[in-house]
Amino acid sequence: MSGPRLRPDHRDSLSSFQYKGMVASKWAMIRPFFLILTLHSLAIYLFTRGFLLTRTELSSFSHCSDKSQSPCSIPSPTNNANASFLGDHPPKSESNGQCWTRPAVDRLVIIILDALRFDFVAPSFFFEEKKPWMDKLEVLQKLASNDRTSSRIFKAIADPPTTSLQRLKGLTTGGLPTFIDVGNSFGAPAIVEDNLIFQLANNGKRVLMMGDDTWVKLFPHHFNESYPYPSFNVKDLDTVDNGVIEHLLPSLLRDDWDVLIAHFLGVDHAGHIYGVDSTPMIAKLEQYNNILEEVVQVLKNQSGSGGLHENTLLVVMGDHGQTLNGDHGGGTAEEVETSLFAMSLKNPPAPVATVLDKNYCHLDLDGKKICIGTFQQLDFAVTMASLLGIPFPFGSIGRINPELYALTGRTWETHNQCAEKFGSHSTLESWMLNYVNSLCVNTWQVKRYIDLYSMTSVIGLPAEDLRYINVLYSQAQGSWLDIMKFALSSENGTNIRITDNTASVLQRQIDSYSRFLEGVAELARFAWTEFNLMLMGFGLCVMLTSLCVHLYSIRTVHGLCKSYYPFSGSSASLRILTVIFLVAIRAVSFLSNSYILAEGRVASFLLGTSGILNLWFSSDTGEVAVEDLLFLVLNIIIRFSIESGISKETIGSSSSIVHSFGSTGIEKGWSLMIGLLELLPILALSILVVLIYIIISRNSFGKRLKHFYTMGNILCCMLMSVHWIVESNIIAASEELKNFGKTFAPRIIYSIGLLHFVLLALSLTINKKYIVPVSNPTDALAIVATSMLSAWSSTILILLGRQGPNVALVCILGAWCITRLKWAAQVDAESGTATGPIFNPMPVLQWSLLAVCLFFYTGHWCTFDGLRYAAAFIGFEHFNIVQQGILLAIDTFGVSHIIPVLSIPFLVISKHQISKKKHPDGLLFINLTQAFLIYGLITAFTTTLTIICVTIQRRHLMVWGLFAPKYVFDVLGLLVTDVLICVGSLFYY
Amino acid sequence: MMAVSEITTPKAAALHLLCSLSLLVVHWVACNLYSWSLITHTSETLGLCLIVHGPIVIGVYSLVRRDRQHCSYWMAVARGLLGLPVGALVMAFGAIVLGAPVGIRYLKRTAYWSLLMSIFTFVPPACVFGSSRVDWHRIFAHFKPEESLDALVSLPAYGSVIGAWIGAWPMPLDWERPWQAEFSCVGISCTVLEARDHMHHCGVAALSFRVISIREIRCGFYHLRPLIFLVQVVSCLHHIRMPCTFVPMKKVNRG
Repeated sequence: MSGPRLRPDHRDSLSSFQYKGMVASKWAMIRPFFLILTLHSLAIYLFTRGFLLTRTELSSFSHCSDKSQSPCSIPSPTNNANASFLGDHPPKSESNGQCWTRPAVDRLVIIILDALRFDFVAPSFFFEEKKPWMDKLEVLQKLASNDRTSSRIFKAIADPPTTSLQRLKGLTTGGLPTFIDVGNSFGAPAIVEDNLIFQLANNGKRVLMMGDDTWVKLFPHHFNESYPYPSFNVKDLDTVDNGVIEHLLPSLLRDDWDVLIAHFLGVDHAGHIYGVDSTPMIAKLEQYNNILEEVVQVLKNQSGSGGLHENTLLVVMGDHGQTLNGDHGGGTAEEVETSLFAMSLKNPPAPVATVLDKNYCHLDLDGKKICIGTFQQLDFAVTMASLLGIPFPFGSIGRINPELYALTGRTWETHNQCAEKFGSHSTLESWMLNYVNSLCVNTWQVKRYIDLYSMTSVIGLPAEDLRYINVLYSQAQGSWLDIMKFALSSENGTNIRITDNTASVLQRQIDSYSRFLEGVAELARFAWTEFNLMLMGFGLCVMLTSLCVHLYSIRTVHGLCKSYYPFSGSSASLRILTVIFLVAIRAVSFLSNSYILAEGRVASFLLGTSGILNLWFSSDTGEVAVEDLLFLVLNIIIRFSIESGISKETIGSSSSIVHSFGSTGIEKGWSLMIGLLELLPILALSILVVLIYIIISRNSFGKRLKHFYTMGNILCCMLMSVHWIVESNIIAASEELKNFGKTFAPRIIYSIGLLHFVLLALSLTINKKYIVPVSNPTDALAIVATSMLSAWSSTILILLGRQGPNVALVCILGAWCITRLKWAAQVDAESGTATGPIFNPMPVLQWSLLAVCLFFYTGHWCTFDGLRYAAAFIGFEHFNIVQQGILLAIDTFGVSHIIPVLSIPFLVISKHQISKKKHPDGLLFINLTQAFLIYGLITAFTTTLTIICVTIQRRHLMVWGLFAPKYVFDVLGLLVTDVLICVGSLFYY
Repeated sequence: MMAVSEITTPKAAALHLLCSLSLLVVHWVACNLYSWSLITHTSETLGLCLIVHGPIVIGVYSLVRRDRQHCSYWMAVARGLLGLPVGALVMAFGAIVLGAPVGIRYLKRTAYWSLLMSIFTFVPPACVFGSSRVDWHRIFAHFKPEESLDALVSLPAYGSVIGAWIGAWPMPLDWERPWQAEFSCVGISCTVLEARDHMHHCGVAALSFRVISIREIRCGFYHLRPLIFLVQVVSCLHHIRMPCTFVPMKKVNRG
């Protein structure tokens, strides 16, 4: 018996003393929560700044008429006398339809071979050793060595993340897509930024697309004609390729397109399935070789004067590389190095060699010479735009690639009047002049983007770097203006040379433009693609410190608790060890990407384990409670829902869904079942209402408030059922009713919830007695917690949709089981040794695991397409970032964070209600603090491990696919938990 | 009463040897005669295990039944047979709680597995103690065997339950990075049988097996058998769940 050991006199004196101390130390109890919140926020801020690179998408677009704002517009001969050419001219519409630059090619054929490694294309003698997969695309190598002036192989450098979608985005926008591109594309992958394809469509170029359907997702309305093929089935090596082959050659003979894009996927898929060194891969490459040979043949046949492809540019390129295992996504050399082959069908004049072979010729072949240039994928959009003569995409930060620019014949023609002023004679000089002109526009466009970006973005660019960039820009444009001025002022005379050598002047100008553009690219790469390890390290350190603070405060509270009761903590130690073990095992599992994918199942596995352990613990006393078994059954239900959710998530597993439907036999009474399914949530809802009513009426609320809360909740539930009935269209309702049900019912529910919350806050600050007429702190806590929950629950329920009531029932049952389980353990402990009031962390762990399970149970998962966007539009038709953001946040964190954290008091209450007489009053709040702290610690510990895992795996293949979203969700979850704990502590204490 | 039930060490050793030997025979037969493995022929191998191991366990444990005066040998056998389905139900329930797949397709595998687990856990005490509530409680709730007969019954049971739990845990593990594989192998006295398939894990797995077994031998011969069970059952549960819960990673790779 433990009772006698706690002498009544001792306890009474202690309790009265402590109770006074309690009131005074309310803030002492709450302070640690705020301290921890601050530390966590700081840690997460630092780490996120280092790890998650963000970029804001600007919604501005380039237009032809913009060029007049640039300092590059060359004054026309008619009004050049004294005019300053700084842009106060009205825009001139050039007679030849020239937009920003003079079109250099008429048609463009882009063939994209997904995951094309550099060594697939480059001749094997560029490498130390010849591997089986090299030299398979011989047609390209032959062209590059035979027609050196018009075709060329480039080593193309992609920027990470090297996944197809991000790369296509980068190629077409000319920017560096990051993990989080802050924009208003809310879910849909369609590119809203200015991009090459948009500019093509906007300027009357007809685009024909065939192959990977990612293009159609990215550009839903931009293609004149498209033949998309599904890309997600990795095991299928041929569907996409055969589709492309079927359309490619016939299309080449048609004249109803200007730009043709053909995207082959076979190499990527072969890499994913078999790896690079495999027969399917080599077969694929050989197949491509044949196709490319035919394509080149057709193009060459039509390249005569007046032919279809007289002035066509053929580009064969990869979007990214791959490792030998076929993986890509990260930033290793194998993944970022891909290749680009370009062939112009209009030969440039001979001096092209001086541009092409200047610096970049790498190696001499025995006999023939093959040169390989370097090409940044960043430059692709702007280079293509300048060759086609369309405005450069607004957000492009690339530089027009000189080699590719030189490959096309028409860039060598003298075409503008200004050139005459320089008295340029050689073709090289006129090419340089053309190039300088294009670069001038390019520079101005990049500067315009950087200026606008640093003004409007969420996280700007470092000020120091911007200043440096500005200096470079003014130097470059200034010198260009000087040259122009000089050329114009000396126009009266005959064509005087500005200096003795035009070429060197132009070369200097090219260099100064290049310096600026390279500076910008470097800055952008720094800001958008490189991790800041220092910040990440600091963040991690702060996080670890916060864990120490957490542990320290738990110790303190534990000591406080000990002052109430002298006891030995022997029997609880096994449980504590179990808890630590389970938390650790869950946290460590985040190191593996498939554990992150299967997180819901792992959590339910651990929840089940804890349930079984509880059963075992309670069988120790010989009494197996019903709640134990009920909890296990509940766990099975949760598990199956999570698994069905996962099967929905992985695309292509429709067979399993069909299977599960088949096994439950839904096909037979289909319509009847549908009707029942519609009614089911309402049925569950009514059970819920009864439950809520019972719970509320059991508590001794203040009279008026009790009515208010009960009525409010019941009204909410009625409105919810109206909403669902109207949504499901079972009953033909009138237009007004429909409108009411769809729009106003949810809004009324939101406002009732808000009203409840505000009322609670007000009555607690102004007069606590008004809402809590009882003096017993346990009951008072129960009342406050109940009203807090009822304020939140209806909003969360309606956002969850039809599954809401089921989820709520599962949640309530689970919570009930957990509180009861704890009680069983309590009685056992008290009847055994004197370990009564020591806080048992097991229920808290179960509580937190249950919360994790509920997150997955409600159909969420830790990726951004796992957000339930539909929930954000319940009650609202139009998109508003604040409104919809709040609703989405409540939906995402509602059932997994808000409800569990706010209902933690019940864990403590149930214990105190059962053994009320034995405990002094102050202990209630100490236990509550313990529960909050342990809950917070569990969340913080898992999040810390997630952060560590993300740091370790930052170059992992799946870092952007899995680890980063997991990080974002965990970190937000931690912050939400911390904030809720703070709010809860303010309300409850 | 207790004095009656004490059994001698050689007898216990012989019992364990017989049981372990039967498992090894099953493994040998399955591997070499039929060339089955748990991965390819899950239910067949489990079934074979059941047919060979089941009778031996029931027969041997009935020999060491506790109250020999009141209970005949055949009575003990009947108790064991009765305990088999009951235990299987409990085990199946536990497995489903922990995530075993449910469905017609998996019914056979789950049934065989739970029967086998029942033989490891429920049948020995049923044979030895019958339905004595006190004894069951002492063995399964306290985890503190007081006499040699208790240890004879409870340690294999605990070993196989823990082994099954561990076997179920690393289900979604990807073997993509070597250190992940090693981490799980060292942490979870990995499947020795499976190591034959993954040659490069062999060293690690064998090492961890050795370390544990040396310690176990020092503690006494009783403890060796749970380990063999553990290893066996790890692979059992591992392979039961493998085909259905493994998420194909490749599918997700395309960004």
